[in-house]
Amino acid sequence: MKKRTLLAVPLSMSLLIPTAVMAEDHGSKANGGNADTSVSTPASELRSALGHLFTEHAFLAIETLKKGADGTEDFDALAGALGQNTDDLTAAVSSVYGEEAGAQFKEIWSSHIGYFVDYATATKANDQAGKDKAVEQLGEYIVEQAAFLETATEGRLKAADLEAGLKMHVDQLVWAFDSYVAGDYETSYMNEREAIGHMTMVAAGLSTAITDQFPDKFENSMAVTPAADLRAALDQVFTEHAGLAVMAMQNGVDGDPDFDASAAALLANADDLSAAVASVYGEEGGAAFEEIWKSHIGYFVDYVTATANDDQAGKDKAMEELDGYIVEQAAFLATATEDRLPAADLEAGLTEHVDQLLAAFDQYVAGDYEASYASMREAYAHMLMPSAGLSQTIVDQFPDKFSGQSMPDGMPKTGMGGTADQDGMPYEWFLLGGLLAAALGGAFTLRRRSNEA
Amino acid sequence: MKKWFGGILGISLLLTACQAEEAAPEQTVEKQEVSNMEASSSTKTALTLNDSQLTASKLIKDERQGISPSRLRIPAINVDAPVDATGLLDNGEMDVPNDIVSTGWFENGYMPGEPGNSVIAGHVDGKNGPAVFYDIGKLEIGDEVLVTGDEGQELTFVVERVEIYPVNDSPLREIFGFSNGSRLNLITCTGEYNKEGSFYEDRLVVYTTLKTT
Repeated sequence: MKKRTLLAVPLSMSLLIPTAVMAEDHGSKANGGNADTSVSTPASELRSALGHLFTEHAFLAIETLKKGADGTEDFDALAGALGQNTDDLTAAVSSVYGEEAGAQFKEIWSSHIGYFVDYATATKANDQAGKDKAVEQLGEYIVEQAAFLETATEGRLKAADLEAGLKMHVDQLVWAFDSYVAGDYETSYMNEREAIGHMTMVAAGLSTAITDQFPDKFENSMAVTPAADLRAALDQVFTEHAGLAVMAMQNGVDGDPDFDASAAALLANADDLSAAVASVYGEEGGAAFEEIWKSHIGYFVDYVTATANDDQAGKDKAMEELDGYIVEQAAFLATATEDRLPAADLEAGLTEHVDQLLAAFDQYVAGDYEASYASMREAYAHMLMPSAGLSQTIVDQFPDKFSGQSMPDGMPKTGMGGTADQDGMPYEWFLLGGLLAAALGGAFTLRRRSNEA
Repeated sequence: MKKWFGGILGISLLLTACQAEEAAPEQTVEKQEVSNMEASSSTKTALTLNDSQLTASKLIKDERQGISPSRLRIPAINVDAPVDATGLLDNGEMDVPNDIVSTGWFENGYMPGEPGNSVIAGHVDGKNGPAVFYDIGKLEIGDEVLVTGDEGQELTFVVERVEIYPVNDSPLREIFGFSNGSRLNLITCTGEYNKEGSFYEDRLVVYTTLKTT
């Protein structure tokens, strides 16, 4: 049985730890790609790269639409960042399927971003017919995009599954946007988080199909293994942290009405991350992590507050506190991982994270939106590093939890030959034979019993 | 930079088109907001983190959930059989039920209903006659396969295709691997019976997909 209840963590994190059954059942054979305990196999790298870009797409798309509805100054720069994400995705598709397919992908993919923008524009203009048309075009896009991917993967991805997944993506984005416009920010941010999470499944499916299609290119490794699942789950929460942090800081300094909801979304992300830590290092470890991790979010908010009040001393103090946080967070992780992650490396990585977020914020406040969103994309991508490092460390530390074989090496033996080579004979004969055997067996048993008696 | 412009060209064009219409009135509104903020800037900003749980009026998410199967019914061929959980043999092959009336769900893999390929295997025959999956090769596209979970949940799968593979040349990843769709694949033996090795040379796989309402 799959012991999902083993972990009191959100469903989105359930991929993190393989089932107890897997942990028990391994042991025998670990050949082939499917029990690979590296988080950095070629297939896992592909999955991580696609997950990065797909989740970032969902995040950037929703944020862009919201900026569009608000008509803010930074809209063009953010739309530009979304366009860069499309370029990166196109490059990934081209690297697998060639330039021509890449160009075709880009055309289709960009079309759906355009329809979303049409929807946002129509919303702003209170133009119901325009909204309806955009929704209709998004429906056409879904069919086109699904057909493209089914063809590219030679049927490994089914159009019907793709259409269902794409429809969910479209519905999530539209609803996150609609609820934002309606002022229901909590609903908006919760659906934004769902939309981001949904893209990780899309990445798992596409990377599975690609690695199955080009096994040699990926050294026969598999995109979905317990170790790769752990990395993908950490990729998702870590990168999302960076994205949500940037937006919460913006909302804070602008005095936006959705600040509370965006900060709560950032803290909900922190809860997911803490639950992940707890599932590996225990409840106490999770609670300790949560306290430290949330402290740095608090210091960022202090920095935002000081910026809003033009309070240099307050900013300096917040930066000092962030420096202290870096040392504390690094020490925690170094201890938890039994120094598999050295404190010095962690401090370097965390310093970069803090610097990127502060840069994205300062540039935003200064009105240099292009630089700000470039910093944000860097910060988002940077989080893949701690994710890769931490996930491999956890796998190394608890190898038994990740060495389970989720796929057999061979097909089951599902026949004993009792109906083989009996051409022309109706199988009722065999049924009769079975009954006879059963009867004889029964008689035998009875005789045995009577002998014993 | 060139690349960047290329990337956003499509979007920018669309946007400038719409913004042109909106520009004038919107900017006025925006300016008002800005001046409001400036006016109130004498009051100090004090942001606090409110660690409360978010609630959504509606959450759009993947509602699919896997079930631990306990019963399998295939009305088209009169199958109604218990499902046992099975794992791996020492040689890495998928294990099978010990009897010819039960079926075996590969519990190391996916659960029926969740994204991924779940697998239930059953014998085609015993030593003396047909077994539970004797007729699954007769299933046709569109036939239904009903799975009941250990808590009574019921899922319906629909037959998509039936394939036959040589036993050592079966696409294991396609049959057992991850997929975005929720699939259930039924496996049994077919083909020539190798008497020396006591095994059938081929495997028959019925691919089914979750029926969505």
